[in-house]
Amino acid sequence: MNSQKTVGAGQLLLFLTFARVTVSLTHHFNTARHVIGQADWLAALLLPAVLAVLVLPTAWLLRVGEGRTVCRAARLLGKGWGAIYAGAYALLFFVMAFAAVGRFSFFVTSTMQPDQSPWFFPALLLLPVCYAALKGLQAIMRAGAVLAVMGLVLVVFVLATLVPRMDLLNVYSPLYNGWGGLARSVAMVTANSGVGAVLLMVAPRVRGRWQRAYAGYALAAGVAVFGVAFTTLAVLGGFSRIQLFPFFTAAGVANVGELNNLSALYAAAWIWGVFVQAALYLELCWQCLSAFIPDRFRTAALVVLAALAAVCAGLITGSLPAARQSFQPVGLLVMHGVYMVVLPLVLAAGLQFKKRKEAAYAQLDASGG
Amino acid sequence: MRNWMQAAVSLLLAAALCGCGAPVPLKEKLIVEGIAVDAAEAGYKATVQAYSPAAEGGSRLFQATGGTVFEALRNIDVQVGKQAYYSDARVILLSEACLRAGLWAALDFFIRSSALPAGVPVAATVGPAADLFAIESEAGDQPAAVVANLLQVNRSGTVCGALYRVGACLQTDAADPALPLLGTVQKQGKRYARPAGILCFKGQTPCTRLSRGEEWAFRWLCGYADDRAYPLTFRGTPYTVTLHRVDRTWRAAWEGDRPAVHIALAVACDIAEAASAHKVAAAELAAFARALEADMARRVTRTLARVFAERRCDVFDLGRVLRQRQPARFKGLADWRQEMPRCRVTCAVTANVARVGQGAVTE
Repeated sequence: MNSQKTVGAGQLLLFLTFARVTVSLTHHFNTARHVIGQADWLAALLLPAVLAVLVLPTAWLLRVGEGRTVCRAARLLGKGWGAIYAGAYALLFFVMAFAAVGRFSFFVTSTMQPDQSPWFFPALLLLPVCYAALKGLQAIMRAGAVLAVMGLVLVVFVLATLVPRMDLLNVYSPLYNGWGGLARSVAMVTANSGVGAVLLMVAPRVRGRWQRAYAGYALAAGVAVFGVAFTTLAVLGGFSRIQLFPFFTAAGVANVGELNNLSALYAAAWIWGVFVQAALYLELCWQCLSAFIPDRFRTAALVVLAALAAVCAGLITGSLPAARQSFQPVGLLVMHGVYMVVLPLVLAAGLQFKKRKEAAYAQLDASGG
Repeated sequence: MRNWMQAAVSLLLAAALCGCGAPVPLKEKLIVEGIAVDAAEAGYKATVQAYSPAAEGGSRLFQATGGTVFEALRNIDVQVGKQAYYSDARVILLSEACLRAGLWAALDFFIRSSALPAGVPVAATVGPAADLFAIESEAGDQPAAVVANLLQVNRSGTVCGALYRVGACLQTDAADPALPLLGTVQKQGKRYARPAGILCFKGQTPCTRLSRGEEWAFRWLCGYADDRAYPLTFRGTPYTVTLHRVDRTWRAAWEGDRPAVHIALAVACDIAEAASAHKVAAAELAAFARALEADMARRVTRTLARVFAERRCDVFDLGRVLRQRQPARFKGLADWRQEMPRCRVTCAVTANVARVGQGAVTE
C-alpha cells in the first residue's frame, strides 16, 4: 500500500477542474462533426451526474484494492496482470499527454501563428513539461493548484466580460434537434471528461478524502462547462458553428474599457492548463512504467517519453485528419469507457473474487477442514 | 545546477511564448487599420488603410484587384512586399456594388480569418467603399478610426453590423443580416462620412434600404443603441426627445395557422428641447407620453409593413423570437420567408418621460 500522502484534496479538486475547463475551452471542434448547439449547455448541467456514475468503478477498485494505485492493485492478482495494467495505463497517460499538447499546438497554429512550424510548440512545451515531471507528483500538483486558480480566475473574468454581449435570442430549446441531439451533446461532454482516469493513480496519494475532492470537481466541472457553452452560444449564436475554437472567438469579442480582444487571456489560461496536465500525465506514465524500468533510469525514461510525446503532438498539429481523430467523441468515449470503466471493473471484480476465495480458505483452515 | 536549469527553462518559455519568435518580424508586417472592398471588372478591388509612421497623417492607402476578396488583399501584400496584419483592423467597408455578388462571397475571407477580431464592425457604403478612406476629420483622426467611431455610436452594447452578428445571420434561416449604410457628403470642398440608413438583406442578397427614419424602428426592435435626438411634434410644437433606454419584450403565439408576435417597447426618455421655450406643464406630460408612444408604434408598424410583410426581409429578429418561444411550430414551417406576410405583428409602446428640463414644468 502506498502510504505517501503527498497530494492535498484541494489540489486534486483544482487540478481536475482546471483540466476539465481547459478541455472545454476547445469545447467544440467542428470537424469532429459536432458543432456547438442548443443541447450543449443542458448536457453540461447533466455532467455532474455523468461523472458521478463514471467514478463508481474507480471507487470500487480503490476500496477493494485497499488504497493502492491501479498498477499496484493489479499486481495483487499476479505479475502478468500487473504488467498488462501497467502497460495499458502507461499508454493511456502517454496518449493523454501528447493529445493535450497536440490540441494546444493545433490551436496556436490555426489561430495565432498559422505560419509557425507544427513542431515548434510541441518541442518547446515538452521541455518544461519534462522538467516538471522530473520534479514529481507533489511538485506538479502544488504548481498546478496555483496555476489552476489563476487560470480559472482568467476564464471567469473573460466569461464575465462577455455577459453584456449575450443575445438571449441565440438560445432556444435544447431539444430543438430532438433527443438525439441531446444524447450527442451528453456523449461529447462525457468524452471530454477523461481526466478522471488520474484518480486511479493519484487518489491513493491524497491526504483527506478524495471522494469529496471528486464531488467538488463534478459540480465545478458542470458549472464551468455550462458557463463556457452557454456564454459562447449566447454571444456568437450560429456563428460558432463555423468557428474552430468558438470560445476563443467569443473571447475576441470581449472588451473591458479600452482593453479589447481578451483572447490572449484565454490562450494564457490554456497554456497553463496544458502544461500542468501534460506534466502530470507524463509523470503518471512513468509511474506505470516503473513496473518494468528501474528507478535509476527515471530521468532518461522521462526525457524519452517527452521526446516521443513531442513527435506525436507534432504529428497531430501538422495533420488535419490526425487532429480530427484526437477530437472524435466516439474514439474518446471508447477509450475512456475502457480505461475508466471496463478495466477498473474487471480488476476490482478479480480482487473481490480473490479476497472471497482467500476468506473461504481461511475459514476452512480455521474450522480444521 | 538546478537553479540554472530553472532559469534556462523560464527564459526559454518567456522568449518563445511571448510572440517574439514569430516567423514574420513586425517591421515586415503591414498593419491594417481598415479594409474597403469595391466591385471591380474581374472581381473585387481591395483598399486598405495601413499604419505608416513615415507618411503624412500616419497612414497610407494601398489598393489592388483580384478575382476574390482574398486574392485582392494578397495582391496588396505582393505589391507592398509586406505581410498584412489584420488584428488591428477597425472596420470593414463593402460597397453596395460588390455586395450584389452576395454577402457571403464578400465576407468569406473575413469570417474565416482568425487574425481579424470577430467583433470588427462591417458596413455597407452607398458609393465606392474606398471613398470612406478619403474623408476629412476635424479632430485629425485617421479615416478608418473616424468611420469605426461613427459605427460604434457611444460604444454601449453591441455594435450593429459586428462581423460575428452578420455571420450568425448567414448561418440561420430565422433571420436576415443587416449592415449599417454609410455615405459621404461634401462640405466646403472637403469630404465627410455620413450615416445613410441600414442596408437589409434577403439571405445573402441586398433587398432594401431602411431610411434614417425607419432606422429608429430597426434599432428599437433589435436592441441597438441610437444616440440621435428623436423628433416629435406635440400639439403643434416641435420637441426633441432623448431616448435613454428602449427595452423590448416579446410574446409569440400561433393564432390558428398563422404565427403572431406581439412586441412591447418600454421607453425611458427625457425632453431635450421644446421649441420657443415652451414650458411643459405637468398635466401635459401624460398626453405627451401617449403621443410619443403612438408615434413610435406607428413608426414600427409602418417599417414592418414595408420591409417585413411586403419585402419578406426579417432583419427585426421576429423569426428568432418565434424560434425561441414556439420552437416546435417554427421548426414545422416549410419556409419562414413564405410565412412572413401572414405573420401578425403588433407593437405596443409605453413611455416614461423622466425629465423635462430645468425650470420647464409649470404648476
